[in-house]
Amino acid sequence: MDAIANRIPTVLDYLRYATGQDQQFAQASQQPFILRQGQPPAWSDANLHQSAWEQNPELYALCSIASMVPHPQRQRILFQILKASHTSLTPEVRHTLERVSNILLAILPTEQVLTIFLALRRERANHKHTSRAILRYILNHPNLAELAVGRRPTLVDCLEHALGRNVARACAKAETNPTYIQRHLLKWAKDPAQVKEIFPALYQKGKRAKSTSAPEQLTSQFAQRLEPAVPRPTTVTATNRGDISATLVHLYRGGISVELRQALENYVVQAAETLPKFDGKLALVLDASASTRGYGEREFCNISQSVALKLVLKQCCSNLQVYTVGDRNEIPIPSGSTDLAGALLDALESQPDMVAIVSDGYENAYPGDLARVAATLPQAGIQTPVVFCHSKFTKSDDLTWRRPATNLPQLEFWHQDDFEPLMVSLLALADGKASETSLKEYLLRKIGNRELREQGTGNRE
Amino acid sequence: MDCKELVPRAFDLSAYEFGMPQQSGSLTVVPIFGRDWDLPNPKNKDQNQFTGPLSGLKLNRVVGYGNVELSNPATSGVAIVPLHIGYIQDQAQNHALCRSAFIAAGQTLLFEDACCVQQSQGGYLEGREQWFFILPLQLRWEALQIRGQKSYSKLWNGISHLNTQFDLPSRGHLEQIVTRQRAVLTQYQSRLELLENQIGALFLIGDKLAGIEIAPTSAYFQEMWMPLVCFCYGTAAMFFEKKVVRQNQTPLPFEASNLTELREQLAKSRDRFQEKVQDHLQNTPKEKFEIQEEERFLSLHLKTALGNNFAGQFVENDGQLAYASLFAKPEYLAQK
Repeated sequence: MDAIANRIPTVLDYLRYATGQDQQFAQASQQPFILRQGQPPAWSDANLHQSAWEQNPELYALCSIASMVPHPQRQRILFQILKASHTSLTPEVRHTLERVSNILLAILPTEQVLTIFLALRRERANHKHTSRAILRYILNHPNLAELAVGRRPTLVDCLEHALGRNVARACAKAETNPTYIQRHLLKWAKDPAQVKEIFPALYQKGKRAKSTSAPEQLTSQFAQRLEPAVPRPTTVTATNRGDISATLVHLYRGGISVELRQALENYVVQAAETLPKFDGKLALVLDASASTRGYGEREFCNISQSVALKLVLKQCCSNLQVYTVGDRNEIPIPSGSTDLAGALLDALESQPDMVAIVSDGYENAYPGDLARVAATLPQAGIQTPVVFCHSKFTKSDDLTWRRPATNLPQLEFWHQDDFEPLMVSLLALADGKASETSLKEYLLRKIGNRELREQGTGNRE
Repeated sequence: MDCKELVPRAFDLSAYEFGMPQQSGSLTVVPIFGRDWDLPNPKNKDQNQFTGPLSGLKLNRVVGYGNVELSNPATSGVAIVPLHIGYIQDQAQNHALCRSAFIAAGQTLLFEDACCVQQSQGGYLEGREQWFFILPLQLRWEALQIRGQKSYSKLWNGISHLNTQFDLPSRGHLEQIVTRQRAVLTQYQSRLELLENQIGALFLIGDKLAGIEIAPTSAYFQEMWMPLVCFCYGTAAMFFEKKVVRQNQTPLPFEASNLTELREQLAKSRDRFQEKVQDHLQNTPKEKFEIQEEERFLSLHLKTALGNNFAGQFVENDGQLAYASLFAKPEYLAQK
């Protein structure tokens, strides 16, 4: 964020912030969206959101679909989308914004969505897409009956904001023409009969329907997952950290069967299909030094996961150049000491768009050199982003002695499922048009896949 | 690196070459390359002259407290028992040896001068699952001095003292360090990397030479690497690192304005680092060792070297160095 202090923040700046890659602001991005009584919403990063929205509203909205963006940030993005006017946007962008809003409304807890709706009311944001979103969400909420009891004033405020006070109150009256109610209210409901019954009750202050759930329960229970839950192993072994590294571990341990080789290729292709593509020039410094071999039950685990990432990147990046520290075979045998600084300089000579250093973090040949070289790059006129990617055995590896350059952005991975957030983060750090295009393509693909899943199941996860 | 003029000068290290130093925290390692006594020999092509301490040497059992029985089950080759080897096993009292020895192929040897390193644990070590270590550097001088003494509790005071240095209960339990700190200590084998064909290493703690370890073969040294770097020198380095608070210093940039200059300055900086390590080695005080012969096995001679600041044991084969384990005394390392 320091680097962007003197310029207008981009969407990629925002994505780095939202995913906690700016250590200084990691906590700020997690802070809740607060709405105090009688006051406008409080969100300290409003300017950053506004700037990202103004520069590229479509990509900004899509950022909320990245798996590692926290809910408080998704809440802000939803607020920004619903608050802003869409009139100057192209139909294609408007369509994307609607798809993103639909997903955010489905995955955010009801409590957070209602806070957004109330904030929109305070901000007097009443665009057509805003009203539409509020009405569709509330009138089709699976717990509408309970909400009408537990959050009655909130619902009245939100619905009156969306419909207009007079229209809403007219719809609640028994003597109102049914055609009027249909045109203004019921057309948004999938179950008009239920809405017809519940809506008037919102205005009968003394009369309360019975609710079986406590208010806090019914506002938290309705929230889908962005993606199907994929549980991580509680006990990590050499071969339960993803199919690619598991197959590599077997190959490293001496398995030479054709089946293993074929399976490896298939697993890599399968994994790459679900990951972002990058058309820029990526230089990968791959640490295959002796320490990446590991020992005991973890032998070959570290190098296997690093090589797994390399193989996937080869599929996903049209211009990948690999600089191996140690053995240079396709599947390197760990050997030698770790000179990361020298390899980084070799990588920079080729003028890539980005350098990713994948290492276990043990820099023992001339320790400290990587940090010094990284510190020198700006004054040497090198603006190429350099990222340090920690290859770990488990999430909780002790990295005390494994951070050779804390002045570089740090990413971590230990499971194959970490490749997706890692690659999204790399794209965010790479900056430039190529990464924006890659991110947009990937996140749109992700939305499409989710919509297909929804259509396939026909119900909520 | 040119380290051939190193102390202790009683040894001819001209046959060895020294690699690029590696450093992590307070521990620096200078890899040694040189004669591998098991490389193909036209006279006996298929025979190993030396068996490794892990693959060739077996702990049979502990006959009674302080009595450890080792064997060399190989059909050929002699086992040089590493100086200050110790064995850890669950549910049994861990033991360590105070001296090196030769064990011929097929031979079983009882060490009656072993020391128990786990004061209040019952049970004898057996041949089942076990792992070995080398005594922490801080205990080696005391252990060497009491070689030959039959008393299983003879190292308990030293272990208690070491434990108090780590703020641990004052007991003769070495496992308080080598087992409970295992997760930290074993990181040293990754923090510092064994290189291909490496046959030995110089270990420095801070700016002082702390030990010279040379094995008869690279395979032997490979098996010694973890016990040495983690438990022997790692324990000493861990103590040193415990005293020195790590500061997250801002890295100092090179004065370079382009990549070519950066490369040049990096190379110069690395030369300076090598020179610094070499200076540390050359600042080691000159030693005059008292040499005592301990054992013979055909052309192999096991000797003990006792100096002012360093001590240890070494093996010569027809007058040429085949094994050495020489370490700094605690008083020397404590000097400022």
